[in-house]
Amino acid sequence: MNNDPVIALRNMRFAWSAGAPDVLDLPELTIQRGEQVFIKGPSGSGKTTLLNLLGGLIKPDSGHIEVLGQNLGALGGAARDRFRAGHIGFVFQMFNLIPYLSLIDNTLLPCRFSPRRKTKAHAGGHTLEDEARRLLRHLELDLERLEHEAVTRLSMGQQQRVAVARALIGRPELIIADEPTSALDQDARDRFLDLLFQEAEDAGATVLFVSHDATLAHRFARHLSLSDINRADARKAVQP
Amino acid sequence: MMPILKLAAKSLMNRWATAALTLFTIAISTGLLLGVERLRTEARISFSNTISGADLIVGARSGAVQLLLYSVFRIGNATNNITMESYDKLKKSKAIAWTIPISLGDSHKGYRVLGTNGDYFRHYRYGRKQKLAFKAGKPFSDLFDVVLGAEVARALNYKLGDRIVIAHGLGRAGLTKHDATPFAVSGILAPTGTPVDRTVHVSLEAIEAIHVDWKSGAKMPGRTTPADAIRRMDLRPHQITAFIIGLKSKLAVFRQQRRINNFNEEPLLAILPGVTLLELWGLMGTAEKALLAISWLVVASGILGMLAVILSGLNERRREMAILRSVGARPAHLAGLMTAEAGVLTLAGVVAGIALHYLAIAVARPFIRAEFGIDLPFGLLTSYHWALLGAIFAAGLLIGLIPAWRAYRYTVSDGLIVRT
Amino acid sequence: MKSLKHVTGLLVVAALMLGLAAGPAPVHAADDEVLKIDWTDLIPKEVSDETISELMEKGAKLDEENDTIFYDPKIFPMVKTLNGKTVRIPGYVVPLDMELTEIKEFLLVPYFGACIHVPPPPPNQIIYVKTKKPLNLKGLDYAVEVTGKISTAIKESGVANTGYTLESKAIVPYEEK
Repeated sequence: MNNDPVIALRNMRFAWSAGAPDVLDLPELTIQRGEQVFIKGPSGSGKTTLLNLLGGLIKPDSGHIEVLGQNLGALGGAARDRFRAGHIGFVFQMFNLIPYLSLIDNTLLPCRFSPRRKTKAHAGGHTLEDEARRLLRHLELDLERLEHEAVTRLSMGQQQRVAVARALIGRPELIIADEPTSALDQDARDRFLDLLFQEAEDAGATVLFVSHDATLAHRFARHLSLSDINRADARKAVQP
Repeated sequence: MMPILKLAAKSLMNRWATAALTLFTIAISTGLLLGVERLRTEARISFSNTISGADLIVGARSGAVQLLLYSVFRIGNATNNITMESYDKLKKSKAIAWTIPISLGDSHKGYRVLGTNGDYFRHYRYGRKQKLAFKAGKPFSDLFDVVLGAEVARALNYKLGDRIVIAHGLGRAGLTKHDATPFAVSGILAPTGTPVDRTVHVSLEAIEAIHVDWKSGAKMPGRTTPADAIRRMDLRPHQITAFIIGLKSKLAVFRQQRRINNFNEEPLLAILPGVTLLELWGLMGTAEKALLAISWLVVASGILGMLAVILSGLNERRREMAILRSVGARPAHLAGLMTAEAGVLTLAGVVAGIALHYLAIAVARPFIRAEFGIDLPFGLLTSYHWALLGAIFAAGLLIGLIPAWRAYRYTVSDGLIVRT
Repeated sequence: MKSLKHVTGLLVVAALMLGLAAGPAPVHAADDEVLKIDWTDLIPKEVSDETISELMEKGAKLDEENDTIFYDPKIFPMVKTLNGKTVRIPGYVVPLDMELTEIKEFLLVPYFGACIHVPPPPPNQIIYVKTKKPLNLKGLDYAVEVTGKISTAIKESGVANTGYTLESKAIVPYEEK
């Protein structure tokens, strides 16, 4: 398992219905452990579909999709949901948090759905809440002030950082971030990436960062463009 | 399962204002349903509790239910009376063990005045063949003795020996001086939970005494006969309103009934209380069914209101569902979340409804007892009531399947990213 | 160990005694048999060629003449051989005293309306039924089938009386077949 690539896609094709044109046609995509990869994907380029496939919410029509050595195409729906819960953390562009849960409860959500991550979060003998607090502090959140605030009262930057904590709790192997910085200003953006990389390395997680904003690409060791690797992209994207 | 329930509870708490309104409508409808059912069963128990051991009740010919209502429950009035001669003739039968004559038509501060004799206190039974007991004092011995039902004594704060005014119709009218009233409380009965409690009992002769100044229906102006003069008069009663019969053998009941119904000196009606009570319930049955149907409709509207609330909020929650999916929730989990919310809300509403119905009973009890003599105890809910409550809860859960299905469809098509 | 032997011994003795007690049972089996009867069975063969309505007319006349509960047993005899037997008979219910809402005593009669508009049945066509388990009656016009031990003995307070009484064991709704 340790030498398997985190993500291995081969000849993977997906269309919304039989007979419709492919949305995705990826001959090859391999991402190794510990990599930090930037994928440039404007809306409409099949980015959303790719994320849903990597997360196991949908299955490809043909070809191979392996995450952490697990062939997702061979798993049933419930098994894919369990796999996602245990191994992948997501950060979205906005509205990452559940409005009726506290900061801590939002952070701990994955532990409710994955016993594996729950156990790992307990490692070291501390409580789940303490582990959540540890992560949140590392992400520079002032818990004394904020812990009991309603999450809807936090700033965008603060909410995004809570989302990162949630994605990281229980040490999943893969972090997938979809446009997490689009709603932040320049300084906040940079600081966010600093923290994300730092915590991901700390946890030994691989980062897959998808965004339309090419200006961020330089901070990543590896960057690709989805329209380049996607044979199904007939539309030549206009650079934003 | 548990995380879903916790999420459901937290989600509802977050929208507590809307949730509270929905809960309130369900609570009211549940309380209504329960209240209607309780009233129905308690009314029946109360009615059949009122008299026991009576084989026949006789009155001037009218409707059977009407006779039962005015003679035993003190509801409504007789249209006609029975002459004393007829009563004397009819009670002379070897088949009859005892009779109780009663005379109705007056009231004292809203309580019915009942004229009778010692047979009433000897033979009247209620509930499970219980005798009338005296909390204080004893039955009539003097012409102007009064025996009060427990509720009358309590409400009007009368004690043994108190002088009270009983006059035809209006109470104090005509008797200006307090010592001019000859009536005195000679006995107070123990509570029975029947209309006996709100009855003022006097002797048959006393009824005649009350009417001395009321010849042919209207009070003679300026005439107030002093008490001593009344005592000297011939106060033998000429008529009674009804009488109750206890037979030596139950097998004789048909023959006696026929004998009285065929009595050719006066048109009379003899009824079997048990049979007529069933008739009464048959009559009430239609109204009860209508009330029950209406209550269920109110419950339905409460639950549909809840459905509207949950459905209307569903669209905004699609992002929330995407987040939950991203951390590993299955579509079934999300459907379960919606159902759980409906279930939690309904359950809370039902529980609140139970509390509301007890509150309503507490409020209504005194009024119902005063007006109808029906005792509405708090009581425990029976398995029938629990079945009703279970049905309401099940309905709420089932309705929750509709937003659950919607949520399932949304989440399957939305995946991780909601495009709205 | 000793106590176990004692217990076993006691059990064996108890079983033997029960067996002995159950022994004579077969002799009484005939009495426990349930006899299915109908209303004509309650009138002895000698008088049953008179129609029910003639009997009722007789009863009505006696009523008015004698004003008595004594029915001439020569005119309204009972079938004495039924005394003590367990019978099953269908009929209509005329409730007597109710304890709260429970009907525990009632008169069983052959037709509906016996207390309302139709003349009452003669005394050997009425059964005074007592039941421990309250009767759940759907309505006066629903027939029931009563099973229980019937007596022709005089029951009431020292007064001679013609009448059947029955201690009911089971009451079920009656369905016409």
